[in-house]
Amino acid sequence: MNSLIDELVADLKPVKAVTPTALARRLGIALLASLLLVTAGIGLRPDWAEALLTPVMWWNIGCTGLVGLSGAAMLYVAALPGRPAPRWPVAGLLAGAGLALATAITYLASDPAEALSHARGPMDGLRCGAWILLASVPPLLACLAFIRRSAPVRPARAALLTGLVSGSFGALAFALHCPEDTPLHVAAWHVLAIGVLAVSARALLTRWLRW
Amino acid sequence: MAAAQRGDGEAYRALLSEVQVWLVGFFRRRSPPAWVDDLVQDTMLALHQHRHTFDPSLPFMPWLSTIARYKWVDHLRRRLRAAEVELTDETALAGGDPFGTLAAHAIRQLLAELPPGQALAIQTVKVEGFSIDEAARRTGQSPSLVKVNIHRGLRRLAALLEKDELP
Repeated sequence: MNSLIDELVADLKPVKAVTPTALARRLGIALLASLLLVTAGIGLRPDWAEALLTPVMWWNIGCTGLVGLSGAAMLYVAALPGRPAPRWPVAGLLAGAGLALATAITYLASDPAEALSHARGPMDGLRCGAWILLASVPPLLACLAFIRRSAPVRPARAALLTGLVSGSFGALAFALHCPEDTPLHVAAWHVLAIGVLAVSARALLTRWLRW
Repeated sequence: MAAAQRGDGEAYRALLSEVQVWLVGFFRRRSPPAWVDDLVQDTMLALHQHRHTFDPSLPFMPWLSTIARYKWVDHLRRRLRAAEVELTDETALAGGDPFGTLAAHAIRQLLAELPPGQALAIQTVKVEGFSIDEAARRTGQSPSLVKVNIHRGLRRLAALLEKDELP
């Protein structure tokens, strides 16, 4: 056993302790890449600058961003052993998801006929979902690059958060393309795409994240 | 550990010697003696490979004990998977194999998570080492039910470990 200590000491090289910057920088670059991907692939909506000033866009970007950032903070803590977990990310995650669904339900309930008259067929929704999945690839790679260098003691949780964060960042980039900015569309299709990514990531990545 | 992260070999050696003593105690309380060496080695290797995940502004022990606990759960999970595979082999069942693949102290707290029938079947055959027929007489379950209960129970325990749902 003491030969093991000798080997480990002989192999010792200076290392830099992981900081939140490592994840933040990667996710920042990934978000830019997702925006480029959406812009080059299908283009931003023509009125994206004006759309950015509308409440429904604030709501969309606010909820998605809140879920993405809170999830990223939870992923950071989940990826490193022995870190105390702050409460605000959990609150942020619940607030973002809750606000998104509550707004959509209120919108639908206030005038169902009007709300449904704006809803287009499922093909449009599926197309949005597919593009969100594609736009989620850069943040997914960013999360994986970070988490492979870390040591998640709850791999299933880390895998789920990886999918959730990737999906949220993908949806954030896609929001600038999506011409359908009704709460119902966002809550149905964008949330569905994020959920699918989170569940698939948990199913497919958990094993891979063991160390 | 902060000095070790900067590459200080002497500080690292001193730390590892203390870590080793602590880990031996930690795993002796949780595992049969035959597992302790492997677990200590695995954990020390993990500590070495993941030393950059330690934040020098935080205390060292929570970091170390979290890694040690992870390695213990991982070891247990793999043992359970192996025991489940072994169950498909009738000869392994016939022998009873007390303390072979599953040791009493490792599994005692896990069994509390199972329905009583499954826990009893696993306890009688895999921990106490009775054959399937003896276990059937002692538990009042039919031999095929004992086998089914062991199989389902082990699968459930392995699934619990996969989901990180154990305390």
